Amino acid sequence: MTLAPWMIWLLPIGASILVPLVSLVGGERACKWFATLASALTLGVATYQAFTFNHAYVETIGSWFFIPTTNVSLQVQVDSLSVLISSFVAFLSFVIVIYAVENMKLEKGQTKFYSLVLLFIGAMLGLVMAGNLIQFYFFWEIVGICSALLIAFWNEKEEARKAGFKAFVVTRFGDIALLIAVVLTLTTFGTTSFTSISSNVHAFGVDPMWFLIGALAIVGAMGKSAQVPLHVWLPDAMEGPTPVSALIHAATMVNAGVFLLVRLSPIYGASALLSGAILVIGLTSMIVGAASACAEQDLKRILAYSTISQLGLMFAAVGLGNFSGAIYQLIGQGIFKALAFMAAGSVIEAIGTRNIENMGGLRRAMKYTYIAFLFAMLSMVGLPPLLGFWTKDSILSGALSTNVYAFLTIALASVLTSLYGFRALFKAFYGQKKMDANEAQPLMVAPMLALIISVLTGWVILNYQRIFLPSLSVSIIPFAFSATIIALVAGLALAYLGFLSNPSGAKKLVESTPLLNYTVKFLSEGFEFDKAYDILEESIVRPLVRGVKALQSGILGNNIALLLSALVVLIVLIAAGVL
Amino acid sequence: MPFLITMLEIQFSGAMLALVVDLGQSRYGRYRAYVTGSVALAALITSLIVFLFSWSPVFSLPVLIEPIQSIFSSLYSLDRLGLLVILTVLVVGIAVGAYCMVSFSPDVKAGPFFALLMLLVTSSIGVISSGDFLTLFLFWTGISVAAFGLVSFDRKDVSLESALKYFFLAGTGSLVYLFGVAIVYSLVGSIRFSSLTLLLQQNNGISALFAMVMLLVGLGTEAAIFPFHTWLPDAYGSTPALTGALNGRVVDETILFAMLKIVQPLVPSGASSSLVHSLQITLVGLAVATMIVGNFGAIGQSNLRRMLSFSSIAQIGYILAAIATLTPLGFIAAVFQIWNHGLVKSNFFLLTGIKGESYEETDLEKMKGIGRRQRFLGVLYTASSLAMVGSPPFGMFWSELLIVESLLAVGSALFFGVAVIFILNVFFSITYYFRIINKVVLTPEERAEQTPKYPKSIVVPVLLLSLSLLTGIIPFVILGIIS
Repeated sequence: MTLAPWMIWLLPIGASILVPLVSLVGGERACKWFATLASALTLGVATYQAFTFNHAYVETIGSWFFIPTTNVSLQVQVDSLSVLISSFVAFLSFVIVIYAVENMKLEKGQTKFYSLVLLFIGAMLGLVMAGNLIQFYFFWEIVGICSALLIAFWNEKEEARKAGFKAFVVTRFGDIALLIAVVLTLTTFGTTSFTSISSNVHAFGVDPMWFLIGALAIVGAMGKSAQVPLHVWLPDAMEGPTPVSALIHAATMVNAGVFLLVRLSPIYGASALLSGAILVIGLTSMIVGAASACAEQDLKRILAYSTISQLGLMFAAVGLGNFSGAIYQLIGQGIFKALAFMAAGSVIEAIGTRNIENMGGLRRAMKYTYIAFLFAMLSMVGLPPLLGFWTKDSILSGALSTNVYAFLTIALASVLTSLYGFRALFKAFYGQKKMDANEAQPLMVAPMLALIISVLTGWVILNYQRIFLPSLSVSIIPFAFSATIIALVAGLALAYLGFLSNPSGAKKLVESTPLLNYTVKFLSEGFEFDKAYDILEESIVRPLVRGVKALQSGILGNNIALLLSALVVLIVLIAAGVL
Repeated sequence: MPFLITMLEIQFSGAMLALVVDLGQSRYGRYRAYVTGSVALAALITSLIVFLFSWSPVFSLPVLIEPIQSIFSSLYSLDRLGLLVILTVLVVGIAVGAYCMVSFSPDVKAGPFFALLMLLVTSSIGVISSGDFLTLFLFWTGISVAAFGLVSFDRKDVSLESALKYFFLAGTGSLVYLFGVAIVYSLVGSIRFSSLTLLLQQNNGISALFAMVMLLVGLGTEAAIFPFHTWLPDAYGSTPALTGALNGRVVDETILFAMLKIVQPLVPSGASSSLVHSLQITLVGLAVATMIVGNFGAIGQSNLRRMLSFSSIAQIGYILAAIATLTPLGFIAAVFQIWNHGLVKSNFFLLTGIKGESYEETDLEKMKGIGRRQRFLGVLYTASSLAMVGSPPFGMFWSELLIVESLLAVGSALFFGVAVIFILNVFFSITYYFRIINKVVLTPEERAEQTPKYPKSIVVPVLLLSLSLLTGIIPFVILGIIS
């Protein structure tokens, strides 16, 4: 038995259980160093696994859940996808835990924080290494629980508690569909192992049952990866601490849905209808996310909407059949978005507000943070030769040759991406200085530097790696390249005109034009999805609750009357032959 | 099955001995609960040891249906599924006994309480292992008497009212059940469970279905199936925590298992498919309505114990849905759910008793922030809530997965719909369980009180929750027993 694929997720899970003991022995301060050590060891195991990987295999250590009709094995699937993504998750986790050591040092409840973070890392890695759908789903759920509890970490704030609940409920709604997909796979094919799914689909094609399973899995992926209309939890999730936003809601957990779709790629690769649906969902989310980010005032929420949009791009890549493009974008987005969140966290810690209207002129006082945010935004908008350019280009070039409408939509979303990216940059770091601020501590700057290096050089690694996925193409298709640059410049020009050169003029223009004013309001409300959900709750849940309350009168006579009348109804139904 | 009779005799003796020992209460002073509780616990633990030692030979039999004549001239039969339910009853009984032993004050009449507890456990095991309708009825009566005594034990007005409601409704239910038994006897001349198969094979049509429905409605009243559920939130929601922990889990789920025993012979019987189908539709209708009423009833509650009581009704709906498949997989799923729910819900009810025994103290508004002040208690509330909504790594994750599998494995549109409704119901249950976490653990207290010490009794819910966790991490151990 090879240890690394098991150790990589068992180690952080074990460490998460030990955190309370470490806290008892060494106090809360010891927790952060213990967590750092555990995440460093996890990264070590992941690196060892990546360097020793030479062939794909599945390893099983026995039955986990066994009854005559069902046998679920505990197994890991070691292949290029799982090794690549687990290395990526372990690397980002380590970097973000170091950042948290400084960022969270004054917070109460560090035992809980590090215990949950390590459990999250372990579950995320367990999900990536899982060899079958049931094991995958087991960790998928744990990841969701950790996420909700970490969002509600600052639970003295009502918004944080509500956000945690919302994240749990919305992602769980997607999980309903995924659970049915998992169990349907089990009951129909007798196994849920990914290798069996792949061979079955290859042998028999996508029959109606596989179609149904694939469709349900898409809904599950939409919940976790915050795709429209199940995206509403992600902006609110920004109530959690910044390391949580960086680790869970930018770099890792939200990617789990995309990972699932790529794991089930045999189904989506063989069904034009399902891949078309994924494409539409992805493109819609791209536009909704990017447009909402353009009108948002909260720096972290801008990044959250941006994540929705970038995840939409990954969905679109899967829908276009460009699975390796989706994975490259997943890695690229994870790195530059984690960097953006870290920089945003430094700013928020320095000036105590998340509202970009209260920021300005920070680039001199917070040089390193400014550079970090600048590189994150430049990578996100696709400036060559940064990592984000190549990962986005691999999707855009593919779209150009397969689906021109998708290409145009991605290009439009790129304009919006550039607009909100530069808007955030200008508002926070340029213009008039509004508050005094100090640069972040070295322990927060160091992880940002590591990610800046990744943004600068990541594409080289992805280009020259041979063993995991087809190399990231660095050949340029002129039309796609031009589109990226035009979108970047267009967004930059709009942001410059609207938010840097003459911000008061732009503000007046919006206020004096009713349509523009309404549009900005509508966008800042996130397309009013929350209102729609509230109406849905009022019209379905509340009447049912009232109905049940009316039944429970507490009067004995009524209760016996209810019992007897139910009996009479049953007798009548039997006599009438209905039953 | 001599071990079964031995167990029943040990427990019956334990109950009597607890009463006798309690006569010398004046000598024990503040150790009264410890002395009488030790007697009862010793009997229960001995019973458990007998049960566990008898395990191997029992398990070597593929399906054990071995009628025996006992000292009460009754008929017993037991199979592997029943073993897990007996184990559930014993574990919950021991847990509640231990909790009461360390938490009762000297003025509580511990002797009668432990005698009633023993009567409840003994009667439940009797129901689980009964082999005919009359044996079942006799032990069921034992359950009713014990439950009535336990619900009204603190003699408060609200408890007495709840006990009376329970007694009248359960009494009506038992009359309906006896009517069903009479029909069965008049048609086939036997009161053994297996006679139902004969009844259906004889193609008695409406009479057979009528008899089945009478039996199920009768038992359904005791198991709190909609629309016969109205007594349960009053009985367990407003009485002391341990009553909810013990009665709620043991009574409802024992009776549900009795329903399973009644429909079990239909599976391989080759009974008229239209009759089986009619029965399935009846059960499915009741199951769906029960889970919806339970969950939406719970959403509307502000008192934690009432919320948990409504949640129990929803769980009964889940178990009934699995039984309604009338498949071996469905039965395994139902029994596995009984085990998991038994552990977590008993733990949850006992947790509510850590804060305070009165109904008013378990109002969620009054429980704000107690999990922040007492961190470990907060962890327990969070873990219990997550366990109840079927989150991994707790055991209920697997049993709910198994219920979905059993429903989908039937392969009909009806059961596919039930599976969707079931999962949606689990989803809706999140709203009130997260409200518990929100109020008890996350929301700050309005006025900071001094942090109290953890009572010794907290060990019991911790152990129950640990068992649920173990079931979730190594589910094959428990599944090995029942499959």
